[in-house]
Amino acid sequence: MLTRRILFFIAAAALCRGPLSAQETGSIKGFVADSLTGERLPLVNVVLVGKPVGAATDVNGFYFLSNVPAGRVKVRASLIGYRPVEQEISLRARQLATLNFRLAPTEVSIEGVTTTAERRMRYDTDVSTQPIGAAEIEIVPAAVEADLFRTISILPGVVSTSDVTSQFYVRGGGGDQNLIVLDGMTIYNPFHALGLFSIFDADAIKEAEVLKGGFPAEWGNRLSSVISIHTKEGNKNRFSGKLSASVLSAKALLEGPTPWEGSWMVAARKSYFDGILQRFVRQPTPFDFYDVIARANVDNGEDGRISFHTLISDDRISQKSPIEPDYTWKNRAYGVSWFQVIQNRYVAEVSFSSSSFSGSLDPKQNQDMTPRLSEISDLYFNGQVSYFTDAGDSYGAGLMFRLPAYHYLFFNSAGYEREERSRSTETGLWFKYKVKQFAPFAFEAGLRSDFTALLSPLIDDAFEPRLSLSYAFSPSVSAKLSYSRVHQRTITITNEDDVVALFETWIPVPRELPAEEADQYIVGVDGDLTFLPGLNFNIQSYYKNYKRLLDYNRDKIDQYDPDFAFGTGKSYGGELFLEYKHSAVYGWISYSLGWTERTIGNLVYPPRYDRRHNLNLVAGYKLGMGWDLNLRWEYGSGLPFSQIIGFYDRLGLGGIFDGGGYGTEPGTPYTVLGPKNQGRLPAYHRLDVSLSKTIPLAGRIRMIVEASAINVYDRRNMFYYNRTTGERVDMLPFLPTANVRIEF
Amino acid sequence: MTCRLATALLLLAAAAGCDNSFSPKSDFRREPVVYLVLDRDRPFQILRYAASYDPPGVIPGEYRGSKDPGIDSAYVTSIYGTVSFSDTLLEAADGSLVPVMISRALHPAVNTEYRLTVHLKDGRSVSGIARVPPEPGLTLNGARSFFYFDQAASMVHLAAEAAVEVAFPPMGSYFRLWITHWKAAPGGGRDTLREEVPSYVWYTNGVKTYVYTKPDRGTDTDIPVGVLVDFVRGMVERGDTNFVDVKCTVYCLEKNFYSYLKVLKGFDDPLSVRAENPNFTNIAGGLGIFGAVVADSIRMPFPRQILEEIH
Repeated sequence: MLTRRILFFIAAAALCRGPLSAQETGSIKGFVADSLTGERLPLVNVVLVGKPVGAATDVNGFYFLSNVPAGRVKVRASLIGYRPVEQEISLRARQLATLNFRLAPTEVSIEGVTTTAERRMRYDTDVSTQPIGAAEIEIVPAAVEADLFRTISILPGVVSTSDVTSQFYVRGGGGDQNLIVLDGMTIYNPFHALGLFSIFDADAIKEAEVLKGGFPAEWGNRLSSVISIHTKEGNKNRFSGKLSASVLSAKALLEGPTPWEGSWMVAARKSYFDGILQRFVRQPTPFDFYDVIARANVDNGEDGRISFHTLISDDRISQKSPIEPDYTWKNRAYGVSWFQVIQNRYVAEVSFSSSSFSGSLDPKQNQDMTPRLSEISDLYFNGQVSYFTDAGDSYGAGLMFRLPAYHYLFFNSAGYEREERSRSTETGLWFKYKVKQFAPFAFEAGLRSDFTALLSPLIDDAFEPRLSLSYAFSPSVSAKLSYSRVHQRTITITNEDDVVALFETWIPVPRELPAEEADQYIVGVDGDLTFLPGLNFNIQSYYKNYKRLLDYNRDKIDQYDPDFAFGTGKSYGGELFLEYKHSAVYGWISYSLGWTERTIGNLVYPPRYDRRHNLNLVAGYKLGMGWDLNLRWEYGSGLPFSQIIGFYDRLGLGGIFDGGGYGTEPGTPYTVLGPKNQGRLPAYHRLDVSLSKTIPLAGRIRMIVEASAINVYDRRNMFYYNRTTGERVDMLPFLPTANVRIEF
Repeated sequence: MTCRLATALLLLAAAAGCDNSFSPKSDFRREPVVYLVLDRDRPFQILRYAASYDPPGVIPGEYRGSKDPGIDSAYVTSIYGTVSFSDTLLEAADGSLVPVMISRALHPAVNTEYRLTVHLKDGRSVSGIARVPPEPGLTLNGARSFFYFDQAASMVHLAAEAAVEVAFPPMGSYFRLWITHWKAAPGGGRDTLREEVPSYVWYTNGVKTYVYTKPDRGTDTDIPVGVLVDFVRGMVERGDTNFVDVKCTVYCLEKNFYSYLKVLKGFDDPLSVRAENPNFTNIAGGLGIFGAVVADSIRMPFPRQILEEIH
């Protein structure tokens, strides 16, 4: 019924024409690029000076301004870190003009240029989308390595359960409910080093979009979040690069123009020292990894581009002892994408990719362990087109296929081999309509369909309606509302109770079972505080109803029991995000208040990542003379755990089968646990600081030396409690690190 | 501004850093613990009892402080009537006396439901229900292949046909294969010994591991002759060659007892290590287990052909 209503709403809005006449207005489209590198810039605000008309560039640097009054108009393009540029253009009624911008970076803004952040206009109806650029990643003091996922984990609504893993949980969703996409390629296990940091070298990232809810129709197949990462395109003007070394690894990023019209970029990283890791995991860790991200672009004039993408990562733990197991896990992803502006009004994007992850465990001579293997690989096609109208509206439609193949192998506790290979099909056919002509109202309505479900008895899985509304109180403040339904058919069987999971095993939801399903409702207000230039705010409240969750069967006794149990859940809360960018100061404050609950059968409990309060303060300050100071302080209230309510001597009763009986068996002391996860660990908090100095060497060559300190006041943050040994295991202690970087 | 920010952060940190204590315990709650596994082949049934305790530390294994829960009475009820348990003491191997309750009058009948009730002196009571499994009726199939050793593909097929009367899965089964042999005793005579035969041999990097049978819900099991031969060869090398017979036993397990054993030995969940293995109990109001077991065995002489093959 809801789906029908939304379809009706879309149709009615599409048929209704707005009050503005296109006869007195025209449109302007174009690209914005970096003047030094030629790289297209996302998130650039392009506005008519003195008029409430504006847009922001997409990840390809493309913008489309509608409803521009005919005549001579002044257009301004601005982005934090760049000098704003204004250009004048004469526009006739119903004309579609092209106006490109090249922005010059202002890296030493303290020495003259004052740049104030402006509201990002791209997300005018997107409710819970947070862009993260290179500046946001670099401002967070590095825990050994600057890392995108560490930055994501300090956004409001995102919870990280430890220093030792980059796994994160968004608005009460499980760790497998986050869709990680690199240049259109799905990455299934994006972690190095037992999850310590991601496989995405921060230097290679141009921008990442974090969608925590209110998903536009083009996204699906994960219940909680989408992390869409875009790599740097490469310097189109000259050969350049970065060479870096930290206590853990060395890395290089090289980029330059191609002989044809285009650019390339290669970023590679290799570990060489495991001493730091040993401090994290508290045992000798003969750990070794490398990762490579590469990209090449072929430009088709100004309006088109074909890009080739690659990600390769390998991790290995090789123990010298013959009874210590060896682990390996690797990612491979290859893709090609095509972006084209057609007839000035259509933007087409097509991508095709292949991605795989495999992990294996070799027990060697360890008789308590058995070999394990987990593999997933997919072929993925995505095509979509957008159309921009003179009235300011836009249409979008797309089609995607994903063909995952799964393979896992293990020996069960009786020593018998279990191996399973399976395939599944994920499809998405979607349409959306974004209406901006009824300002100050705007809305985006969409519908996504898994059309393979239409052909099955599980027709309820076939439709996912999406709706976002916004109302602008003023040019700088708007209220937003959103509803989205999402299904997920690929899940992991990792138990959320595991403290550290070495194996992420992906499996399809069996065909005969319905998909996981969640509805999310969001209401919020965001905008600028006019009395304090440079300060943006975003306040949101969400309610998420997990109508179906698939959990590994908690009561599984043996192989005859069902593998899965359906559960339900809900999460709700509020978030506050304040971001300040002005001149030499940059920082943000994020606060989350959230509740999460799972229900499986009669068991109702908060999952291990149910954190009530989460506060993050991040600040960066350009001190001048090339010195940068960055601070981060995080506070998180205690995470749930199950408390001990007593001990008892548990009998093994093996004597019944050996002829001895159990009349005098002494028993083994064992804990009696109270209700699941009703206790709370101590609160978490930590202060990280980094100080860097940029030293010009010669010409364009410069060196950046950075010193960081993690957990400056050496807080003993508790990781977990080992019930067997009675040991309290803490997270990172005070840890100074350093790295040096040379850029040319 | 930087100074103010730094000062504020340090103050916040100092304030929040004060509370860093942690105890994994919540308020102690004393729980009665009872164990009773009805066994048709035993002359008397034993009820073990204890209470949970609260040691000063938090490390299981450092303390052993089983307490008397204060039992007032205990009895078992079935369609055949009510049978009470009475107090007694059993002597453990270390000479200590273990207080238990026993009943000589209770003779479990197969396919019969029993209800255990234990009244405590503090007015509380705990209870449990167990259904004694049916007769396993063990049969040995494929005996011919057992006697005629075939290196290529010979298998001994053992089957329990007990589950046919009850809807699946009402119970568990536990197949075990033993070799009985004897040695000359130092003072004359013979010492009769027995050794369990593994069901599976697993090689990793040339290292051999024996895997023994475990409680299962299957109604049959296969034991490769090659494993038996391999096992016997090991005994021959040790000089234990005075074989008597091979004995196969199947235990038919009441379903809650089966679940208890499975949880005790870890979940059949090879892809994750659970941080919190739960307790399993069918005792309402307490901990422990009320279960039942019925066994059946087959004995046969050890196949001479195999011995000759080995020698």
